[in-house]
Amino acid sequence: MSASYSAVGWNRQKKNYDWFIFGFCLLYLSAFIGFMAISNPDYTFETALIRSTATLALLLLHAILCIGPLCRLNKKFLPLLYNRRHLGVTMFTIALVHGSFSIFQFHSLGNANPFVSLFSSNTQFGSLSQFPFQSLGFFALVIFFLMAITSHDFWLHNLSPRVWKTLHMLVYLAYLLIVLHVMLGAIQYETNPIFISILSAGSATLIALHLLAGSKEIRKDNIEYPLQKEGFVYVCETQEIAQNRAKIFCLGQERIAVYRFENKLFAVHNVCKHQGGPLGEGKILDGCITCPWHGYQYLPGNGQSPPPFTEKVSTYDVRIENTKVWLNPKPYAEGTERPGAILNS
Amino acid sequence: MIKQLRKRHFQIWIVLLVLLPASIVMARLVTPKIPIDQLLQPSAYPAYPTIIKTITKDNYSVHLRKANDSSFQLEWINKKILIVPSAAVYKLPAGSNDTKNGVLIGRIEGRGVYRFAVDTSFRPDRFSSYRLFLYDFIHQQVIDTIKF
Repeated sequence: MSASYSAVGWNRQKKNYDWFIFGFCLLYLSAFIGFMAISNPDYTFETALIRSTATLALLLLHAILCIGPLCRLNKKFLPLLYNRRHLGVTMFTIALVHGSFSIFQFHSLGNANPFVSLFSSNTQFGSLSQFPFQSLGFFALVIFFLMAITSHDFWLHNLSPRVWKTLHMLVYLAYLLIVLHVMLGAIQYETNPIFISILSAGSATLIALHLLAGSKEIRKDNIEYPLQKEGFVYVCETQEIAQNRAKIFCLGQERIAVYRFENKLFAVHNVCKHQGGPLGEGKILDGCITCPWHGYQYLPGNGQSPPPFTEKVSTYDVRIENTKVWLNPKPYAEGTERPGAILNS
Repeated sequence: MIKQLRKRHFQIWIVLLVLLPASIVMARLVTPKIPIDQLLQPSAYPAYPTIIKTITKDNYSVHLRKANDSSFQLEWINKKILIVPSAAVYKLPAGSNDTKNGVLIGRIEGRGVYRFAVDTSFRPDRFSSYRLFLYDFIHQQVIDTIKF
């Protein structure tokens, strides 16, 4: 958590995750370059490297963009989300190798500055088949660069979550630029239908996953709770909430997580202060509500992170009548202590 | 994630649902059926039947060929890709190093075979008074000189 700037806190899971990514990338690049050397001995090593890094970066980008919706659809994918930014930085590094070698091979042997050459050697912006596709890849790489250098929590806190999130949502624009970069570049020359089929399948999978997860969330947001009295809304029965777990209710514009802990019910705002993770999908560990995304923690009674951390979320009043759980959607100031509702044993 | 942000994500993917397939289909429609030949030189002409002179170097070999009607052809075979972007072949009088005094034969690009029709000054008995210059005209430097 974020009491102050600190380097990446390595733990066993992060190390395993990164070793797996490293091993996979190495294996992929070796296999691709080896296969090209055997099947097309005329190609130079630089060409093999440009192509292998291009396909690997594209594959990783698809994997990264799949993780979010997969986690919304099935909690089993949550461990992938934990270190998604490591995967993102890896993808950027590989894309950077691709971009650097491409600029070196195609633009650095003349007497013009390679970056001037990149934007001036082909100016057929009016033609689709001859479009200067390299510039599209360049702009996508700039977005990935900005995302990679701001991926540490230090930047999340210094830029503010709103700015940081807006910046990182540019990944969707970058993805569109990459699809165009491939379609107007490599696909114009490599006319084998297998390439366009793979790219189309990747895009279709992403679109389907995101729309499926999005519509599932919208359905959750649209559930109505008609039974109301004295500012409280009837949301569920007590037995529907498991010990150390929560149920999430969307009342008005906000989602509220109602947790069951030590024979009491507590309600906190569902949005984690770190990256907006769903607190209600986590569980209570060591007496703290633990965000399923990156492990940020909050005390159920007051919504405060345990010292020395400073994050706070809003708290809410809960009431129990017989077995019915009533929730007041009016939030208290972030970090306000609430007694919780005692369950009848 | 707050409700507004969830809605924004969903809206973005609705837009991408339209843009991504449209981009793919549009780019596919304009894909040339035959890959575009980016070489500045046309494809090599058929080789003349008789080789009358040969020069072999590490990176390329050069043949002077003759047809039955006594016309001549310069055949240039690149064994390795040239590392300069702008190699041109000139015929220069012996003793001159200035391409302004020479005749441009043609341009050499990547790996491959290049054949250029040449005049009768390439007759073996006359060519001793000429040399071939492989010249990088962007960096203005002589890459190699060939004397048959």
